[in-house]
Amino acid sequence: MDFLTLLPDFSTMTSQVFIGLSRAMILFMVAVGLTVSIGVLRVINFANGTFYMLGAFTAWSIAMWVGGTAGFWVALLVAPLVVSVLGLVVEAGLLRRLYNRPRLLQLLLTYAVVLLFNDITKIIWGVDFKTIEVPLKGFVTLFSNVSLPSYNLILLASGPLVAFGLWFFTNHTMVGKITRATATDREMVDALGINSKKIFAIVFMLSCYLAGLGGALIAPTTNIVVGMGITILVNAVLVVVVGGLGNIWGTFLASIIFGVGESFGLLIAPRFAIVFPFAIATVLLILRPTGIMKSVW
Amino acid sequence: MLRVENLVKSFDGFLAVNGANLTVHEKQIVAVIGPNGAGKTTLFNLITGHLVPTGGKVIFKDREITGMAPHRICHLGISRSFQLINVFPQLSVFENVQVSVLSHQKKVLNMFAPAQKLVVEETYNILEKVRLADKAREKTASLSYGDQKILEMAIALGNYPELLMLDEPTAGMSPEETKATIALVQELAKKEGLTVLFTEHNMNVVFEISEKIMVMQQGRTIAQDLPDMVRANKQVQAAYLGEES
Amino acid sequence: MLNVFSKLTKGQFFSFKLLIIGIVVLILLFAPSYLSRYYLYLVTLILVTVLFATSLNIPLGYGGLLVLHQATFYGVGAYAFAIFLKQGTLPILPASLIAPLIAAAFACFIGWICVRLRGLYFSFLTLAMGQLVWAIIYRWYNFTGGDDGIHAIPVPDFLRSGSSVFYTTLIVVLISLLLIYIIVKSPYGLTLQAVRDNPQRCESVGINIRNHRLIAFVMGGFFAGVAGVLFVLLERSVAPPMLFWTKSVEVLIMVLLGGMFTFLGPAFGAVVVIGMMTFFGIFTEYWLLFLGSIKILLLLFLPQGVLGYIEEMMAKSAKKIEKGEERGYAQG
Repeated sequence: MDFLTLLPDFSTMTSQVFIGLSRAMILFMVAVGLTVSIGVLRVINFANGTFYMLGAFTAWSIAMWVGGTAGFWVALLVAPLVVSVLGLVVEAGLLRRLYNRPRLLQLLLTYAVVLLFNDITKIIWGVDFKTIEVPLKGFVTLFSNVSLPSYNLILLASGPLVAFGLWFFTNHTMVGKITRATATDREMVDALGINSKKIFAIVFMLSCYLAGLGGALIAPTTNIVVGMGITILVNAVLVVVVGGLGNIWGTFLASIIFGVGESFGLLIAPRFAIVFPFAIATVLLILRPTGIMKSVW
Repeated sequence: MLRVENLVKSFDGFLAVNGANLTVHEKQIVAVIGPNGAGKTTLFNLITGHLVPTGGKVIFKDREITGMAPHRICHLGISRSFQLINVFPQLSVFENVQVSVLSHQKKVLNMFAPAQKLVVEETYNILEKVRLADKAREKTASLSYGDQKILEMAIALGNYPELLMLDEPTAGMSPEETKATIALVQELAKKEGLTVLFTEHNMNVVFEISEKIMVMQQGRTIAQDLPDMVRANKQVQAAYLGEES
Repeated sequence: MLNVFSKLTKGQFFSFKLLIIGIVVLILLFAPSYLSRYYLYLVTLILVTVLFATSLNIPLGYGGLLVLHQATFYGVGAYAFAIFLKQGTLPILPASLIAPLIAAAFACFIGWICVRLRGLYFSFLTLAMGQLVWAIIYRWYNFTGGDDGIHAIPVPDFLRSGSSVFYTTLIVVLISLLLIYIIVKSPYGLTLQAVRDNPQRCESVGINIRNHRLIAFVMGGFFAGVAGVLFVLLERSVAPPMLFWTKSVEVLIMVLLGGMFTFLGPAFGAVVVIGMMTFFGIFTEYWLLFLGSIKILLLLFLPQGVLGYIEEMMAKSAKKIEKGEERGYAQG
């Protein structure tokens, strides 16, 4: 058999890359929330995947309640906000007590939050999976014979928008600058009379907002189930480490590597596609243990 | 016994040690002195393998040990204490010393004998030498600062070194403690036939016990001589007094 | 309760602990005669988990290595054993010995790569590599049965009854725990704790810390593999969730809940967690909710673990007594 016939043609490959990229953007949104909370709060927040799941479920409820195609767009605006308010509750109730505790304890306590919300989700939404209709139907032709589902364009655009927004926030707004200062030296910021507690709460809400946004965005393209939080969490944690702990652009790059890697995996050995992100993470961590970009730690 | 030749260490372009030279003969007591930031502790870390030199050589007993792993250098006969207290806080005083004795006797991979019953006599011997035997069963954290510094030295003795390196053995001690510690170091050197290399900021101590002094300034060796000669050295005076010679 | 402890000296503590362990073992010895089938199964599962949790505590509690994916070795041991039996390549006895060795070999490979990294990076590499093993097993249908797992694993007739599985498990777990106890009290165990407390100093006294850590990691992998074999005897099936990351977190919580700086803490944590799961499972559909909240509260308020807390209290009152006695002696 001719070996070349085994390889997919160019257009399949290109559209696969774009699908991979759009998945990467969602992964980025969850991962960047983790990265920000690691960079500023120094807490590895395993509950971030849970906020992603809650974003998806909340979006579903809002979309159902409003109804029609408009329902989803309303949900996309409102659901992340709802999730970030929930995040504030968790921060004030639990996370605030964790900031100076041993790391293992932080990991496990945020994981306990995962368990808690998994069950609350089951109580509220039940155990059956939910779906939202794709708000943008049809395909767009990118060039010659490469086409992509229209909705993926929105996903593709969202990642760079979020990355740019975060960059603008940390470099060009007062709160962002204080946040960066807090990340480097909390005592100093406190000494300047700035309430770092408030900054921490804002940062945590922001990371929950991003996770919620990721969940709402992915909702129309997937089955919304309770386990989705943990699945993305494992990948997001690895993305954050591979990208360099606390480095936003590193996280962005690592997300792309993971997303595109997985979609190539789908082409080469579809059955073993889920192996690829872990294999990539392992190889990258062996080659560059502290991440591909500079870690803030 | 120990020869350091033109040792260089740079941290991202900053030369912490830049041309250090030192010769230590057997059974000598040698001091390394110099103003703060002269690179004394870095020199120690380069000799014991905690840092890998950028250039130069370290030769111990006619064998080049430059850049060797610390645990291997230790087994060749060099052991050291640290400037800041660096003990095993969760272990008892006895266990602190026992760890290094076990390591010296290459028993650290023994998995089936009860540790409580091994090298007990040797460990007590060392604790008696440094006069900590009556505190053997105490938790390390309950010791006074001075005693912790002594324990720091006792751990190093557990390796039965030929060359004992002490990084500021009396730092932070009261005058009485300093006196006792210095007497102890002299006594050990004599009785055990140890070669001692130490850094110290207390000049009285340095001139009292050392047979040779090496002076460092900005990472460089500027003098290496008998105490009296060093005292008379213009360059050394300049380094300490901040004057041009 | 503490008043009782405060009357004991340090030596008596040890005998007291031995007495409690003796009583527990004695009660366990007759378990099949008074427990129903379900509860006997449950006790056996607890015993398996006790060994699993204790295996994690070798690198974690004694070695100070934050291993994030111990379930890998539990799963590899179980899968290796299951595949040997299912394919009939090996009789049960050699299979049960070689399976943990395969788990140890995996630990040796993964550990060899991971111990080069420090702190959290070590932890995350164990996570990545563990998930890699999971993903491969999850999809390798021809060899591991993929996401279906392997079921109806054949075992010899004498291992078909609940009580024979129970006794086999009890004996193997007791022997393993005894071995682990001997190891942590050996010179290796003592120096491993020294490496945990102060790696830099250990290097200066001539200990090869990488080697020490790797050995701890491999031993943890081996005993996790033994637990995996016992799990297969009990369930006669394996499936990928047993080496998914959440399993590792579950066992980490057990170790932390019980107390990672005490030898029996992880075992105690395993009993508490599985006990709670059963208890809440009977009474409510949403047991995770209770479990999650109880875990949060316990971890927040008893960070040294339940057994760690009890020991601390016991040690405190003992110290008071000892000091009091000394003083009395000096005065007299």
